[in-house]
Amino acid sequence: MIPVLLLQLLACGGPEAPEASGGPATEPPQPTAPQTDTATIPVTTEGPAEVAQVDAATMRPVLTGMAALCDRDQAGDPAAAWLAAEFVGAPAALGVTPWHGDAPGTPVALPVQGDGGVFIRTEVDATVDGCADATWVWRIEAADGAERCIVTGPDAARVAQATGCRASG
Amino acid sequence: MLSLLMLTSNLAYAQSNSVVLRSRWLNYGERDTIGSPAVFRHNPEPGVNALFVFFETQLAPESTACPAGEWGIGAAYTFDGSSWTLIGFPLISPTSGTYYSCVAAHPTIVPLADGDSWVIYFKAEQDEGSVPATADWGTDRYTGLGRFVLSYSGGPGGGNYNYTYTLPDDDPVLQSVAQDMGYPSVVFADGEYHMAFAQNPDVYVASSPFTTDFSVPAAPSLTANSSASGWDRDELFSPSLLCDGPSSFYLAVGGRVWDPYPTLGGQSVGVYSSSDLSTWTEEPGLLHDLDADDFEVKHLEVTTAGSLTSTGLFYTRPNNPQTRNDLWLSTTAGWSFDTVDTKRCP
Repeated sequence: MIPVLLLQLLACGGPEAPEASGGPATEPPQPTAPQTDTATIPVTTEGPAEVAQVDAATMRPVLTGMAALCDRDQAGDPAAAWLAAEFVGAPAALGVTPWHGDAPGTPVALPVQGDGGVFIRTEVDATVDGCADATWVWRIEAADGAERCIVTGPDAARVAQATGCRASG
Repeated sequence: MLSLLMLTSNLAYAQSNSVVLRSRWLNYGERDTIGSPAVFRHNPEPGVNALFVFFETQLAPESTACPAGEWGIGAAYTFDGSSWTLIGFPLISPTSGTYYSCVAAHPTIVPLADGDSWVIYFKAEQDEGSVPATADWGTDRYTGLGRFVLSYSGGPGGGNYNYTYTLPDDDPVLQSVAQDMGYPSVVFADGEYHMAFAQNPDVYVASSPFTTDFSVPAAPSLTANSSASGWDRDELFSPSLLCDGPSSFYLAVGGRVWDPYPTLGGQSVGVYSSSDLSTWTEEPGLLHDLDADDFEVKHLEVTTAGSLTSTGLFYTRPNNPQTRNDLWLSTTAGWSFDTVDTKRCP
């Protein structure tokens, strides 16, 4: 038998609206939940993880997006690279290095000035020989000198292994 | 596809079906509903795994300013797979003067490449009557998606672990498709974020290398009433995007049949597969069916643990008449909290 539920549905994607009545006729056995006595609620708020809200600028800088486009303007210059990154935090430096095979190329620095938002986008135009075949090693450095690096591009897994960085996926 | 075929028996889900959190267990808000689970696993140190679940819950009742009430984002976690610890406050609450002045709901979580940080998106809704003059997100009630970052910030030792998170960004994303839109679900694959979302009655998949600027296709990725069996006749909802290696994606999605609206005649969860996130093929069978399972799945997040034969379905389940909705988990054999796969795809 199909249980018939009376639902009041908000436009798709809205939070659930109150339901009028009804419910499944039967449910499997389930833990008995006290409905009003919070003293016996079987979950705790004390555990091994502490979660706190902080100002984005104080967070450890982290890359949230990276893109490298070659000859973006279709002007016929295969070395014309558009390099863009998105990050959170207040890094001291952000840069990207093109790799070809086992050889790193010339690093390119990206501006790190924020606009007050949580997610900050930065980009730069550069000349990178062999742009279309490059694998890119992105490095973001915190004010304390701690650095994290992510690898994108066709040879990401191997370059990540060579550099100790993480492949982006 | 053989592995997925094994999933399609409803009996598989009967192996474990348990409550994760009841809304009455919350220590804040209306304590009447928990919905839209979003799940990730973190490995803060070798041998230690934590499974986090983020959810929506109603924080304040309906009002003239906020007709659907005020909703926010809460979270809980487990380090042993059975006992859950509630973070004792909503991480995100509606805030006056923002694009989420009424609602922050429908969270979805995608890991960043560093392995210790996550982007959380949520559906936003504002009080149309108090939009700041300087707001650049418009005056519509539905403003798009908010986003913020959660990051593991280390541990003081002794088996304790610290996490920090930001406030939401100043501006929403996906404003152009905000109306009738919800249930975002994100994976990261091939250098891009891929976001499935429902826009009643269909499902779209949009992509971007950044957390904003998504390219939304003109046509839906999945259209309601396209299954021959008719389980999706009137509406697709709550897509849950998964990856199974490079260029191998699955999309679990809810379907509803109204008999007629607002009487629910059928509710199911089906699965589609794709190699390009554009063309989707329905897999045989259903992950869930109201008729067979005798309960309704209202929101869902599918997790896998190593393969698609080991699946954990987190879902919102009605609990009338005591409370509206609680959070439940159905698992197949082999699923374990400490091996849940990342949504940053290989």
